Amino acid sequence: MLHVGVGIEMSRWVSGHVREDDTAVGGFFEDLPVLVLVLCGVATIIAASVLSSSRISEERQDEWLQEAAAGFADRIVESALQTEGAEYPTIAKLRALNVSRLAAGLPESVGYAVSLVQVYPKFEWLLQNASHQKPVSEDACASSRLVNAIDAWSRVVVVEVRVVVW
Amino acid sequence: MSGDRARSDLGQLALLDAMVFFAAAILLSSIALSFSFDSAGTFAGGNSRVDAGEVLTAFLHASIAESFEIVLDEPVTVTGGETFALCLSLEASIILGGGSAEPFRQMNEIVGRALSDLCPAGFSPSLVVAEKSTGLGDPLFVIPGAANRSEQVYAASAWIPSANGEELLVVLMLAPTLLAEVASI
Repeated sequence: MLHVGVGIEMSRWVSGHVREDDTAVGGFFEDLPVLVLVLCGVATIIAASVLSSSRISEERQDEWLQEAAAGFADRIVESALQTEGAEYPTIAKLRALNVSRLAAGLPESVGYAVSLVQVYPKFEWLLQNASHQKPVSEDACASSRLVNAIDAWSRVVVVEVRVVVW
Repeated sequence: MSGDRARSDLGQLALLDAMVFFAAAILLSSIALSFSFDSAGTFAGGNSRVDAGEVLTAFLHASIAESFEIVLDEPVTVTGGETFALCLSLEASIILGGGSAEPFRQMNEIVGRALSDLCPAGFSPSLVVAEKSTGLGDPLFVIPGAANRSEQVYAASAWIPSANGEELLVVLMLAPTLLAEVASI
């Protein structure tokens, strides 16, 4: 009798769980759209995070390059304005500036190009200097400064210091 | 049947939850992307550095570099070594004394050319010279003739002494060329 009772209970238990298995299988297929939506949501968040972080790192790099360009231009102007007693540097002194020495403050991984141009009263290239260690890149930043200088006719002219770093 | 109804309701609730999660994910992603693109745009604007003060300082200290004669009661010969600040103060002194700006037309053209050479590309310069007491409300003269009316203008000012000892306010305004053209239409 005990065996019969257990058999009946087992059959009830099995039949009950078979129904539940059916339910589970049906529930799995019903939940597929849910799974797809959740996976799409997670993928969207991950993609946005990766894109945002790459944009921010690019921006940081640009800011760093911009600061490097501005600092380099400031060093050139500071060196040019180191005149012994005179109010302005001479054009001859600007032509003889040792830009390579001033570029020592830049990291070796940074390339640069420097131009000194007289912009008034006439346009004239005074000095050009560039590093050849690193090929020119599209990720570049520029900075410029205006300084006064004395030309050969003792006139006060305006010289622009142009710096590009990459 | 009641079990089936219950299971179906649960499925709809789960789907609704997933849709809400998906919408929230899209919203968060949009906010993150717009923040990163906005900050990048801000830096791009800062990259085009315009320093009107630097231009004005270099201009005022530079020599006019052309020789000509200003026809006044007593003709004044400009040799080219005079600074722009000195030439502007001479013109302001004559106007303050009741004279005309007409004899200074050639000088003002040179000033306009010099400012165009010095200001950054894409900008049009205007120089306003005013008396200290009246200020910019009633300027003595404006070069090249009309002050920029653009809403976005980079400006810098400096004080220079006039020939008769009064202080003069010199204001340089740099307006984006495209905006200046639109404002003039």
